[in-house]
Amino acid sequence: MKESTKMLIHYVTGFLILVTGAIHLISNNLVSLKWIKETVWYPMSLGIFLAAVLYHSMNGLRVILVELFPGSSSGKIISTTLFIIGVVFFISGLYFLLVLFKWW
Amino acid sequence: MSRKENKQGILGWLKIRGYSIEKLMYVAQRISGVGIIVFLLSHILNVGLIYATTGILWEPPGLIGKSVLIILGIIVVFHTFNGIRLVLAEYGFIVGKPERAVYPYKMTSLSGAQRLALYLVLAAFIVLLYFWIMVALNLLGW
Repeated sequence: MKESTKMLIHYVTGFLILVTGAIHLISNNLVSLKWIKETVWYPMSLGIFLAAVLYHSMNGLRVILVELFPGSSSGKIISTTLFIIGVVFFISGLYFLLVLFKWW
Repeated sequence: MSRKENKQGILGWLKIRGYSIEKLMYVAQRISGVGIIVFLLSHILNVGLIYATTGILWEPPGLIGKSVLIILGIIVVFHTFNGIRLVLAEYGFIVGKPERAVYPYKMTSLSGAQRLALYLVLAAFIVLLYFWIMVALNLLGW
């Protein structure tokens, strides 16, 4: 994948985090809007939030590490390691979400 | 770039003197990002594992836990606003037009709309920080 495409996804996920993160915070902290958590859209929003936030954070970390340790071979090691960490956290987070909303 | 060319590593981030304010924002964006990642990964594991094993949903534990969340909120607000500025700069929306280099040299690409965006980010951050502190004091029962 081209570096520009990775960064475009980084910005798109940043916007998604803004929207779904706000939904997560509002529904957890504003009593009058707690009904959001009862809708079927809330678990989906959390799933999108989880995926977006993990891509955004792992790609952000990749950019920092690639800059600190330049070189194509170290870049590949960093990318692969962070990809695996991201996938592990996504699967475990998704499992927790499914258990939480009684879908598992 | 070879590894030797970046031998300063993280210490290079700390060199602020002689650079524009954008360098400071660059460092702040990275440090805030790493801080958010540390919280995020521990939050996923913490909430998930506690619920999966005990069936209890995690709540911020006491004053220290709430204080951590309040500081995190401040960091997230900064990271978000500065991130929006960076996206606008990356796609050229706020980059000034280049001019012929005539002494005394001016950074025309950084001045104008881009510098204004930076001040807007700082202003919005300070305003939201005020509201956030009000919310935080209420949360702490002060």
